[in-house]
Amino acid sequence: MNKNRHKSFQPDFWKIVSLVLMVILAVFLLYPLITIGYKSLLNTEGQFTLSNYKDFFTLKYYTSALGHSFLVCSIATVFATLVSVPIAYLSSRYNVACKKLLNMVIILSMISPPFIGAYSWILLFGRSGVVTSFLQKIGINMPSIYGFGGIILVFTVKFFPMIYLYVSGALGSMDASLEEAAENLGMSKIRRIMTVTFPLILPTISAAMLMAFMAALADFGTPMLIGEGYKVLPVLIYQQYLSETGGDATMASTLSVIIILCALLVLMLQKFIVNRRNYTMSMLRPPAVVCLKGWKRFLATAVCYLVAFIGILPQLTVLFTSFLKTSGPLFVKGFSLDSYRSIISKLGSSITHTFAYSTVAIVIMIAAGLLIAYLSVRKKNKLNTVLDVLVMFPYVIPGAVLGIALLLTFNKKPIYLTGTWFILVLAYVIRKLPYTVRSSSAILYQIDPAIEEASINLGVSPAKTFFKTTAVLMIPGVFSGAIMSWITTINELSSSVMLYTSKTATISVSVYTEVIRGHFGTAAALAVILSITSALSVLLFTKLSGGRSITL
Amino acid sequence: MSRDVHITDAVKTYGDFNAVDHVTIDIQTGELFTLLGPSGCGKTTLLRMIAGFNSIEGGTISFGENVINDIPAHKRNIGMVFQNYAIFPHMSVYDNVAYGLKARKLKKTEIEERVTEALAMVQIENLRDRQPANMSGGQQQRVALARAIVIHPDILLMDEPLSNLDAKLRVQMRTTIKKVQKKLGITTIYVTHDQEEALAISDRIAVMKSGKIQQIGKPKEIYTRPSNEFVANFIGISNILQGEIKENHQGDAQIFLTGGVSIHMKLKETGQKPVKISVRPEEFRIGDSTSPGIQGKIILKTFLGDYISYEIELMNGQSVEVNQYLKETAREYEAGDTVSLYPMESKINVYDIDGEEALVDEQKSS
Repeated sequence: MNKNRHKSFQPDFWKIVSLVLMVILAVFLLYPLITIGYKSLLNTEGQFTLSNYKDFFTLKYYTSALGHSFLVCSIATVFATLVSVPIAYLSSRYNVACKKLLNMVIILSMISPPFIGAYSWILLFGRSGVVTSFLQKIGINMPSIYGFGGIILVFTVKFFPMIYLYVSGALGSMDASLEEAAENLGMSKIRRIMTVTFPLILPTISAAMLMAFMAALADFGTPMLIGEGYKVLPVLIYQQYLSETGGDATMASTLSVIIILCALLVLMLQKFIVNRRNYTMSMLRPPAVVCLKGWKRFLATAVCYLVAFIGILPQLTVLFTSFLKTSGPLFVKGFSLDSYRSIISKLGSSITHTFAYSTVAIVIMIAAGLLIAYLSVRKKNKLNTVLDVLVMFPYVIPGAVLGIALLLTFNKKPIYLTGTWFILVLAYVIRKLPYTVRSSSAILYQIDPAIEEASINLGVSPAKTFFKTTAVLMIPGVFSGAIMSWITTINELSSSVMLYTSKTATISVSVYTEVIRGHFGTAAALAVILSITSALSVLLFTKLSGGRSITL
Repeated sequence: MSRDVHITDAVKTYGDFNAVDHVTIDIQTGELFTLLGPSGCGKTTLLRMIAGFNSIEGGTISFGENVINDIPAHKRNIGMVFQNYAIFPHMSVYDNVAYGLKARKLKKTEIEERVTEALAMVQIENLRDRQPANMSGGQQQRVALARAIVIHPDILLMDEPLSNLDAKLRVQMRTTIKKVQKKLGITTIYVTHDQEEALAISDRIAVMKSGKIQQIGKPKEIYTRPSNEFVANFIGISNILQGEIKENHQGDAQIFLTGGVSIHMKLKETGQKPVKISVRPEEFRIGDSTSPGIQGKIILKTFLGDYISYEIELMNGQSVEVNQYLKETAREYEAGDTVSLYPMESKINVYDIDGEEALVDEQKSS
């Protein structure tokens, strides 16, 4: 008998899928990243040089932006953690009133459109802000909201909901017996928290902090609007790119490479910390909820809602602003629907664009997420591991950087995409796919591989089997990630602002341009549309999935 | 429909580890054949090679005349029952059972007929429209069995089908499986690590260890005449005593055991050498310390219903397990008593000093 007969040459469905996906990723992700890396090593004459990097590390203009970025992101992340962890503990372990409402408010404040935070804080506390003017009348002068402090304030408020959701999830799924064992062994309550509860959620906290840090590092809108003279890397990249247009964008490329390296460094640091402390816990009994009475309960509830209120305040401000009567760019006394009328007549196309592009993107993401999760979980091999890493890589790429990479790569034949709607969809898919892939992989680990073998064994081919069994069972997981992909896609600004043209502007881009032009009323109305769509998406998802939580 | 199965020199390697190491087995039509062994012995790997989920890296597997090495899993027409049932959680019981028939594009009326028949056979007609989520393990197991037999497979594979059930249900399902298998006359390959289950259910058993076959035989042969020390220890309980062949006349051997006791055995072996004696707990005659035999002291007495189990420490410090059946018992002993043990020569087994080769001459002994 031929000893090598097991090497059959039948076309394997999954091998083909994995090759096709690999080619697509190579063209649309790897190639742009290589291009940007390559450009960063050229001078303006197109010769090979390291002078861009030398400039970066020697000119104060650049190094200070790098320092600023790290400083504001670190401080804001720490603040957001300090705010969210106690609130998460209170709300998950005590009988805080109306917990569902509290969580909903916090979820809603997390999905706020980009830089709405910055913009609202300016509306409230800016030079001519409502609160500022009011306080001035009674003789109190507020410190400036602009610059360093303002960025930190906005980041903290913007990113604490994310950490809150991660941590309260972890606290709620910890087995009660662990804390009971500590109690049984004679530990006091505070020491129980410090020796058992806190160490067990530390990996979650650090993962959440990482996510917040990354998001802050990549955030372009907030520092652009409220930072004024205080420059951080994404703003620098944007301005550098605009000033270099026509040139080769070599310095913008260099900055991009540096910000990616920074993000990678932080990611690796976090992985290093978490890998040594990762616990798998089987939850048998959820932790008991302590029933507080009287003023104690009132106090706990008040603290939680105060924080949640600050989180949602930007959106309330925007909502309020959107109904103010306007005369041109100016607000006048009274309320009206002027702003909404004007967006429908002038900016209606941006609404259509947002929904059209996001729908196309989400369909692609669901299909790709399903297949990539399957390949990386069930068909582990070298190629699919590379695939998995590549797909997750955009987590660390700020939107503006991805935007520049795509622009620099696809601005000439054979693939000319600059200015098309497709390049926006492409950016959305690349940036937001990780959410879908992650939650799809997570649910796949819970599906018994034998289910598929049973189907194959009963005479259904492997490809068909996947669609009849595993794919169907994966749907809840895929959608809980896809909802996050969807919401962040419709709200996406940082790459859109690089890639849009007047013909492809989306809502978030229009909000940005309207704010820049001083049309606060229309900007607010557009932002409200985004907020409401996001909120409805979450509600619809929660309804359809029977209370399943969103995968962050 | 049913087929005989021939596994010839089958090999499966993971890196430089032979999970299945040149295994040859011939399974007859209609037989319930069990692959038995400890975890990691290669039994499940071999089963999955037959099913088509593991590639066959050497040798051949054939159903009847057909070599199936290169036939993809979904075209092999094998029924399989999985360890954790693998019931499709998004389909009703009916749809689960009908799944394989739909894949074969049968007419609706025929599917209906065959599903009904299969459900009746495993006695779950009443569960027909239920969703699997709220069904017990035993019920799910029956669905899995119905789903496997409804396609009229050439052979049926069962991968530790009872390991997730509680003890009582396990015995019940074991009977159901055996009855269904006999009624359909379907060639069945059954994998388990539970020796009691294997003895109860099988027509024949292959005991495996480290990817190699240790012994193939009927349950009684395997229990009474294990082919080596490993099988003797794995199937049931065996006390292994050191012995020495002192006199040997063409296999008529005198073997000296510890404590000056000697036994008389008929062996294939003609030389004089040290050997191992394997004695099951019920193969010792237990008597007062004055009667002939190996002296020992009772450490622990355990009452187990129809018999008493004693843990006895021999003079040389070795500990042995001895059973005393109530109905044959003249006298019970207590912990601390000194007793005398004598191995029953017609039942016990003798192995070479490595425990690899059985030395008892079965023709002459029986």
